[in-house]
Amino acid sequence: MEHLPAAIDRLKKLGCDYGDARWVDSRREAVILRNGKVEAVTRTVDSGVGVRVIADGAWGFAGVASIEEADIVAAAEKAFEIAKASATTKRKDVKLGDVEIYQDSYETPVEKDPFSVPLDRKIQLLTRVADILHKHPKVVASFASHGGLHINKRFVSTEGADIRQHIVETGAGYEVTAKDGNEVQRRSFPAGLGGDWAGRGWECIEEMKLVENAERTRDQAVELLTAEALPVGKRDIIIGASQLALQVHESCGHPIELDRVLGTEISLAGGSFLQPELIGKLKYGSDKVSIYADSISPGGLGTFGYDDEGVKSVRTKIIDKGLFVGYLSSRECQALMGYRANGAMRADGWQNMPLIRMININLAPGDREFEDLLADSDGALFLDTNKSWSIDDRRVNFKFGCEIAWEIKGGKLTKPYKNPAYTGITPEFWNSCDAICNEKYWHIWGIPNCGKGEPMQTAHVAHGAAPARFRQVSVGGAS
Amino acid sequence: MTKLIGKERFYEMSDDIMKKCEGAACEIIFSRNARGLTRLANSAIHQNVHIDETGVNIRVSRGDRIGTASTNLVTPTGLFDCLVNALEIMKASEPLEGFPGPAPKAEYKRTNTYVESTADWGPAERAKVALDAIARARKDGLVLAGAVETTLAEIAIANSNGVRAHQPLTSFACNFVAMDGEGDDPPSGFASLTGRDAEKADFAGTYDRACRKAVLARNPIEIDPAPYDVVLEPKALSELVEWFNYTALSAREVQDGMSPFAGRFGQKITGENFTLIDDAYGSSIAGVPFDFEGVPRQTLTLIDHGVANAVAYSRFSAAKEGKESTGHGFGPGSMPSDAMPLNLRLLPGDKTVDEMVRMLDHGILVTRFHYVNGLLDPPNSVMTGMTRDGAWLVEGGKIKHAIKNLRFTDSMLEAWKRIDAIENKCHPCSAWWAGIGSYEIPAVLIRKFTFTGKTGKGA
Repeated sequence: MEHLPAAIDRLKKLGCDYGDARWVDSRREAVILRNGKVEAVTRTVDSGVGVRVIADGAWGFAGVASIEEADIVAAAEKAFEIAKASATTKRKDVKLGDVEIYQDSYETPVEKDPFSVPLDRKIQLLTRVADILHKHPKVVASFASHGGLHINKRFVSTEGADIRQHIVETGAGYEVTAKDGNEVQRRSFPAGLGGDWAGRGWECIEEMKLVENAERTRDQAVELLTAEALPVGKRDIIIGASQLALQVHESCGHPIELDRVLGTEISLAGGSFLQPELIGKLKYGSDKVSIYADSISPGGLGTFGYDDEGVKSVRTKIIDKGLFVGYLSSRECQALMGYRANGAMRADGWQNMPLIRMININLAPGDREFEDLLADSDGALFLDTNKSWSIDDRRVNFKFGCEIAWEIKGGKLTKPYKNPAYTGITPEFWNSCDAICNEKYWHIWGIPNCGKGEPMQTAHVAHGAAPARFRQVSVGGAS
Repeated sequence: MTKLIGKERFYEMSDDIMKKCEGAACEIIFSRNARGLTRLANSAIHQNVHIDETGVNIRVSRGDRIGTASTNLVTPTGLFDCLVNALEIMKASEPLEGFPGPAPKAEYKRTNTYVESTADWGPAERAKVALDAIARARKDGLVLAGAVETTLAEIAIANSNGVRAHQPLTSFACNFVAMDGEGDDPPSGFASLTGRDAEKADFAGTYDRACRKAVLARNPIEIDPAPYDVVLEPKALSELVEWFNYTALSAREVQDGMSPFAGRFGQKITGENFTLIDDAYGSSIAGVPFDFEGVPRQTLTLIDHGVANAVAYSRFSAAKEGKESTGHGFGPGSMPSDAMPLNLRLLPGDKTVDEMVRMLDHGILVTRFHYVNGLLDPPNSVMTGMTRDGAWLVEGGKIKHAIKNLRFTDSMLEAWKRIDAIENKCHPCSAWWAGIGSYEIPAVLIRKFTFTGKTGKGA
């Protein structure tokens, strides 16, 4: 994208306080099988340039779906004009915190480019899965999908930054629906809500063992048709890693976004209970709970070299042995509140302004073997695979539904329950955590659909998690 | 001022694509969105953006082999590359049994979805609304957040069977959250409005309502979760109907067995006073008279006096059952479902909100819900969510106290059997598709609506 610096040249001539321009070119491929038939194979191109300007102490932003020099310069002029207009209503000047300025490049390490794998091989893989899923008379529907994504980006700024990045993402998953009379149950693999995604190549699909797990997943869906609903009560629970990833997302990842704390997302997404006066004081979780944010964990959907305001990837402690110690920040928040920008400003494509978004928000692994934890949890429940999610606008009161729960007896998963749900209050819940499995059971789960902002932006984020035990949690059937 | 691209240009580009599609059948959707948005928080404008983008989806098919591609590079090269991608996929993909191909040419009713003066709205007009709203909030010592948005959109559909359809649309939407103070959890009030004509919109009445609610929300008390009689204001009920739409009202959900309509057509699934329709033509906010496959949009009575009556079909889901599409397909885009109603209206009753509040002996008035989720048990329409931005305890028909937020968990099929009264008018409510269609909901009184948790203490 050789014309991008033209935007910066123009902004400098116009006399802005600060300006940056981002070219983003994304290419997606999706393969979707429904009931064993290829329902859609799609390729999507989304390409353009976004220009962000501070002029007279106010932000302006404009984007254009073009790579022509004249269009890019015009977008820069429009962003400048909007900034000048916004300045007439400002309460105070926007300032950016100082960060190191880079000229650099970054590429996702990939063994096998997902776009290099022939389409027929992808279809064959998903067809083999679907064939197994439908080998039971009670199975009425299945859905299997694979997706690949290439994003090429360039970021330039009036401060001299010039960063090129090539990001690759790959994902897959399936779900199977079984029905008997009015009873309908669904199981998914490797995770609910579209499977699992990684900042890797096709090799991550091969490691998922999609075919090898199809029969077990199908049989569990069928088994749930005759399962009882989970009785209401307080129970010790072990939460599976993929469900715990979403728990981290909703009850830790969102409330540490400083823009939410500052109130700029209050009308839509809400605020946060993690107010600045609680830093270093709030016992967010038990001593077992350590959570960190980074964009350097291998394979994470939040892994990259630099964020969308040119800040280099770092690791930040968020919860340190239970204590709340850190936020996701931006250059603007750094200037305003002193929390260092930590590579969390991300935009959905060229057409949106960067917001503070999750990157990889990881629950650090503990020291337990999964089998030992089961053996040590007689009478507890194991809940697995997300089915539904809900949390209040301050991120305190949550309720999650899972696809399945089992009674734990004699170190084994025994009686299954259908439509299990658990509910709690964020700090109470994390303080009840008394065991986390070790790195052998830890996996970084990709969530490609985190929504935030107006206009709505979708971020690709990840959460490392291993199964963990929580004491005396309110559980019950969905209803 | 943002101008229409116009049907002539879209049809010209479509004709060019179809000339190059190697004899394959071809469907093309152009979708243009010119959206201006002014956001406010902490009683100041903090975001001011305008993005004008056009996307195109191309689906080609030869028999039951199909290929789909999309791009936002609406240039001769970009469109040609997109077509080449679609053709490559079509040649490499497996056949899709039952694929019905492009829709036949059709005639469409006319609907008025475009108001030129709204298309002319820019940052200055939006900023004026925002600044007036902030000034109103200051009169009560309140802090204001929210958004004011105006959109000009165009949808153009063309296919190799001769379908040519174009619809220009304008819309506005605003929402305001007025807060009594800053910090973690101040008392707050909410109001929103949406429509096609920004010039006629009652913005002042909307932000005034949010402010009055915030004042009334001061000094909330905590009450225990339990079943309560509730009056759900339109925005609260609309969140439930929106999830019901996702999980219940498309033929695909019925075919998969996940919809509460599956196996229950002709049976009573809600109370008799509950009639839910989809109507692009009779709503106060007109809809698009065709779907994304170019099929004329039918008016559907989805639930008729409590009886499960109809769901939305695309051409593909209809062909699976040997039926005709109802004109609700999303076509070769990247929508979450293959068909969905976009012009939902719950038919009104005969009460005012004040009259319904007076019918509560011991109950709760709810402004809206936050983060509703309808996937707990979709066949039974079990949903959960939190109250937000204004809920009040009502005793003896009078509002007594603001209350802290509560979590509900209930089956909507069961809850909608317990509707005792419905407001005598509908209100436009925003949803993600509100710019394309509409969404009109009255307030309702529901007996024994189940609250299961509260914020701040054990849930």
